[in-house]
Amino acid sequence: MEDLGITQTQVHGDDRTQALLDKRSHMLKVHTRLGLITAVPILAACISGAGAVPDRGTYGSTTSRDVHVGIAGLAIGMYGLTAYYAAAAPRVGNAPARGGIKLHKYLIYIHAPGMILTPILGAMAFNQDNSGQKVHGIASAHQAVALTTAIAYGASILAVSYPIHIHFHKAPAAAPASSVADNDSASPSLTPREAK
Amino acid sequence: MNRITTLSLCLTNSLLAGALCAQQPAPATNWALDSSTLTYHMSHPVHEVDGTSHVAKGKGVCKDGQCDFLLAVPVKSFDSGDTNRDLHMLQVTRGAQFPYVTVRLHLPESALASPSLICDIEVQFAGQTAHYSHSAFPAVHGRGQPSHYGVCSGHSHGLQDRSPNVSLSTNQERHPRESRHEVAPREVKG
Repeated sequence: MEDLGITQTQVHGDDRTQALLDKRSHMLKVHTRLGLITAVPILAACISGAGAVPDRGTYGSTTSRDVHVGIAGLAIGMYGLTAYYAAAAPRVGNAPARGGIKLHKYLIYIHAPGMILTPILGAMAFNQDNSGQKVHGIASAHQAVALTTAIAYGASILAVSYPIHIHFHKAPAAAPASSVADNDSASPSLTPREAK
Repeated sequence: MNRITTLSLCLTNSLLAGALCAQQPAPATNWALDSSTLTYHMSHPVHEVDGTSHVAKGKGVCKDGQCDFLLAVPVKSFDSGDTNRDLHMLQVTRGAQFPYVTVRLHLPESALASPSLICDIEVQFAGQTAHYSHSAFPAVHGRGQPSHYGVCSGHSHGLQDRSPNVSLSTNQERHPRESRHEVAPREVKG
């Protein structure tokens, strides 16, 4: 190996970096799962929000809004947990992001402020409505900000999933029992096999 | 979420291609690798990804009728077009602990003249070593340079595992589309 210009230091690995990679992968897997799960309450919050718009003369009934607030609160809490796992994952290397992860990171600048702004605007709208006022001012942007946030969140998921190739394998034809042992679809093994 | 990812590592024995260029093999001939293309393929239920590296290093020595070749490529040099995926690949293949994939080939010098090289191979990858006896490497002609290709595969099952089960096997016919590598070998008289 030294004849190739590769030193012994380069050949021998770095356990500390491997441990960092392991931790990073683990945290990002949790981030991925939580992110997918969080999409459900976000979608539910958008749907429940449609029923939370107050009608004239029903200012006293807040059930639909309470349901919406509860679901949205759950979504925001899970979003925060999801974000934590991404932010706390250790950085390995300083290479600039390339590929789908780049767009995924850019979209943070849309949905992260949106996740903060949406409940604030929602609370303002809620208070205005409870006090008998028509929702006005910046609070009237609650719905638009929430939808923009939800769309950016969905796009963020798609950004790291694209391109999606779903492939179907043709089921193998029934083979005689004697040939099954030679089938290449069996689990790979350490047994060397001559290539044809 | 149980996922199975296959990492197929395609390795050229490009040095052997250079060996074929020798008109009259000298008693001791050294070979150096000028360029190469190595590819791994990843299969996922919703993704098919290839990662490529062009930074393999290699050399060969033919002496007393026997040839020994060595190829080495850093695991982290493979580029799949997504930095996040590359780091994940590095983690799964224990690329920080075992930074290099190495391939050692041993064959008689007389076999270099054969259109399909038969040689013994030792592959070290992800901390495991696999030996293949009498593996064949058919010749491919491109850009006027004869070259050879071969495919070895390592399968990593269950990405959640901290210690993924990586196994190696020759698998040439299962991935026929991966078997294209361009090489430019250079003879070095030793």
